[in-house]
Amino acid sequence: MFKKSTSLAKPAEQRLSKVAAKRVRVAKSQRARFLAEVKATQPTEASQREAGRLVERVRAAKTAPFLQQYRLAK
Amino acid sequence: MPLEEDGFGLLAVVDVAADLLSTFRCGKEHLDAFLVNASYFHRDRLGITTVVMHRDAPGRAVGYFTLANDALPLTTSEQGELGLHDAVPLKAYPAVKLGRLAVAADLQGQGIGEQIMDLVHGEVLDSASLSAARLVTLDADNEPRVLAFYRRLGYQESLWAERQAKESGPKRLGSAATVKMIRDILA
Repeated sequence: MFKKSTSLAKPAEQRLSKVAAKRVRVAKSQRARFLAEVKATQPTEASQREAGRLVERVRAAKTAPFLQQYRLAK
Repeated sequence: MPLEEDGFGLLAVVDVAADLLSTFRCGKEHLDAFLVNASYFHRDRLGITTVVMHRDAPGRAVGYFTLANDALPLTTSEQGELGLHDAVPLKAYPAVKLGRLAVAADLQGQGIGEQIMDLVHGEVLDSASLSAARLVTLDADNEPRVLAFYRRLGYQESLWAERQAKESGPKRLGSAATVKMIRDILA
């Protein structure tokens, strides 16, 4: 009959640790790539215009006159 | 009819009546329950919750979001490689964490989530804010439509943050309930 072999268990463990090691490598390289991209990204005229639009929107939303009816009296 | 882009209004959760918060339904019980208790979280300065209203949806909240400060710490070698310490000693990229985001269930699928995300990004970018933030981080529900939503908005899965969370957090069985994502606000 089949007998569980310790020599068969070892490669499985090794395979698992190889997978884990690969995950670590992928995560590290993804992080390095992301940080390099962040460092290289500078605001452009277009991105500043877009940022300005978003800021204006959020400021307008905070001061919208219709909100008065929902604001709790203090 | 979709809600107009310029009709949104934002109120701090502590300024909104409790009955308006308790009737909010987004289809996820934990997010509905969070809104009811968000004022305590807000007052404890653990996360600032903003309720999203709309001019054309009277008497109800159309959604809400919660923000808190966060940071992406840099290792010593990363500080060196990135050359950040040449100008200003920077040990971490300042970030904002989007802790919660919800849209009313009957208003989903109309682009309101994206409109709210525009407001979130506007809030992060506002130079009148008291602190700077370069990155936005979040834990997205591990569902294809949720992940696709954030990917569309420029967020990417953060494999290293997942790894760190797994190493330092409690052991989980099965697949993760959430996926860590990150975005450079200037990208």
